[in-house]
Amino acid sequence: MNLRPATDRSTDTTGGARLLGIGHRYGGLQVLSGVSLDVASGEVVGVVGPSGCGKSTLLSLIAGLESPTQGRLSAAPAALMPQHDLLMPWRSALDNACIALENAGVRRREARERARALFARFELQRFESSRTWELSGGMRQRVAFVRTLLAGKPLLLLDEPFASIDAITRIELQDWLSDMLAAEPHTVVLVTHDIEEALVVCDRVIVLSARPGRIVLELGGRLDRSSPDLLAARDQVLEALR
Amino acid sequence: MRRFGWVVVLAAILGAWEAWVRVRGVGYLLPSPSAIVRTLVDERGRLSSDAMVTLREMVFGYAIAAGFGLAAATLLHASPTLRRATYPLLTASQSVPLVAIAPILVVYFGFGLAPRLIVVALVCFFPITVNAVDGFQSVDPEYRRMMRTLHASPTAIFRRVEFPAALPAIFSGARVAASYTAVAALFAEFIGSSSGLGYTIQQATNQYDTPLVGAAVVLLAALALALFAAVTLTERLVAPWSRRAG
Repeated sequence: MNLRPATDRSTDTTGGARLLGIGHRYGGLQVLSGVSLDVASGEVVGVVGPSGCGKSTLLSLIAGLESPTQGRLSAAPAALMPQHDLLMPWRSALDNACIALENAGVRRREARERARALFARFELQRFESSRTWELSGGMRQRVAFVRTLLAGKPLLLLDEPFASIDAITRIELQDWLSDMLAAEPHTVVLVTHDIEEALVVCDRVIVLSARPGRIVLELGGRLDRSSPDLLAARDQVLEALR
Repeated sequence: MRRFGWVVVLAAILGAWEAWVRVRGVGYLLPSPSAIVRTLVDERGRLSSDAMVTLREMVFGYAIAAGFGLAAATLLHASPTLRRATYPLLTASQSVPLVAIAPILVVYFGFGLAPRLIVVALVCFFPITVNAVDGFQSVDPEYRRMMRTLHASPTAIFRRVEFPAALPAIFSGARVAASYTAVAALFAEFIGSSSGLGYTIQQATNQYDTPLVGAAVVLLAALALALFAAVTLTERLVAPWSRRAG
C-alpha cells in the first residue's frame, strides 16, 4: 500500500488558486475528474453544473478541508460561505459576523468594532443586536457574507449562497454582491446551479458535467441581465450539458 | 379560561376524593384532602425540616450528576475510541432500573448523606450524559467545515458551536433527570436514612398515620415540580432560541 499522499496542497502566495488535473473519489464513487483551473488574484470565477457534479467537493478541496485523490492543487488561504447561511441562533447578528475574528484570538470588543464598520457599509447597522430568527433571508445572507469577509482570507469560496432565497431577493443580492466585489475586489469561487447568476456576477464561468464532474465549457461573464448575450450564453451552457 | 381547565379537573378530583372518604367512612385508611391539609399545617415544623433534607439530597445529587455528566459527555465526544467503547453500554444502562440498585449502594456506602447523594446522582447521570453526547454528535457537520476555514481550532469549534448547539439536547436530558430526582431521593431514604420525607413516609406508613404520609407525598411532589420548573426556566434563560425554528 502506498501511504504517501498522491497529491499535495501547497499555498498559493499570489492570492489565487491553481488546480491541475484534479480528481476526487469517495470510496468507489468518482465525483471529479481531470479538473484544471487557474483562478487569478482578484478574479471571480463561477462554477455551474447539475446537482451532484462535485461542485461542493471542489470547494472543499480548494479550502483544504479534504485532499484530492488525484492531481495537484495550490490555493491561497480560503474562507467558506456555506450553502445555508448557518448563522448561529445563540449569537446576535453582529456576534455571528465576529466569529472568525474571535477564533483568531481577537478580543471581542475589537472584533465587534471591526464588524460594526462592515455592518454600516452593508446597511445592516440597525440589526447589530438582532437575533438571527428576526432577520429576513436576504439579511441573513449579508450577515453570513460579512462573517466570511472578516476571516480576512484572500480567497472567498461561496457555495450556492443564494440558493434558499426567493427569486426577487436573490436578484437584489446578486446585484449587491457584484457591486460589492467591484468596489472591493476579492478572489472568489462561486458555486451555483443558477446559470444566470454565474453569468451576471462572475468574470468567468466554468461548466461541470454530470458526475464525475469534468469541465465541459468555459465562458466569459459579467453579462448584463437584460442583454441578448445572456440568453445565448445560457443556451450554450445547456447545450454543453446535454 | 381554557388555560385553567386543569383547575376545574383538579377541584373535581379532590371533591370526589373528599366525598368518597367521608361517605364511606374510610378516613383511617385513606386520608382525605382536608386531613392532609390539616396535617400539613399541624406538622409544619417536622415536615419542613424533612423537606429541607430531601431537597438538599435532590439538588446536590442533581448538581453532582450534571457536573460529572457534562464532563463525561465532553470526554466521550472528544475521544471517538472511548465513545465507541462505552456508548452502547451507556445507552443500555438506561434500561436498568437504577432505583432498584439503591439498596446495594446504601449497604455498601453505609448510612448518612453520602450514599443518598450517590443514588440521586447516579440516577440523574445517565440521561444527562447520553443526551449531551447525542447533542454534541448531531451538530450539523457543515458548521465544522465552515468553522475550520474561519480560523477555528477544535477547542473553538467545541466552545462556539458544538456546546451551544447541543444545549437544547442537554436540557432535554436535564429535564428527564430532574423528574427522576424525587423518586431517587425517596428510595435512598427508604433504605438508609433517619430523616427526610422518604423516612417520614416510611415511619408514618408503619404507624398507619395516613394523613402524614399524604402530606409528605404532597411536599415531595411540590419539590419535584419546583426542580423541574427551575430547569425549564434556566433553559429559557440560557438557550432562548431552543424552542424556535432557526
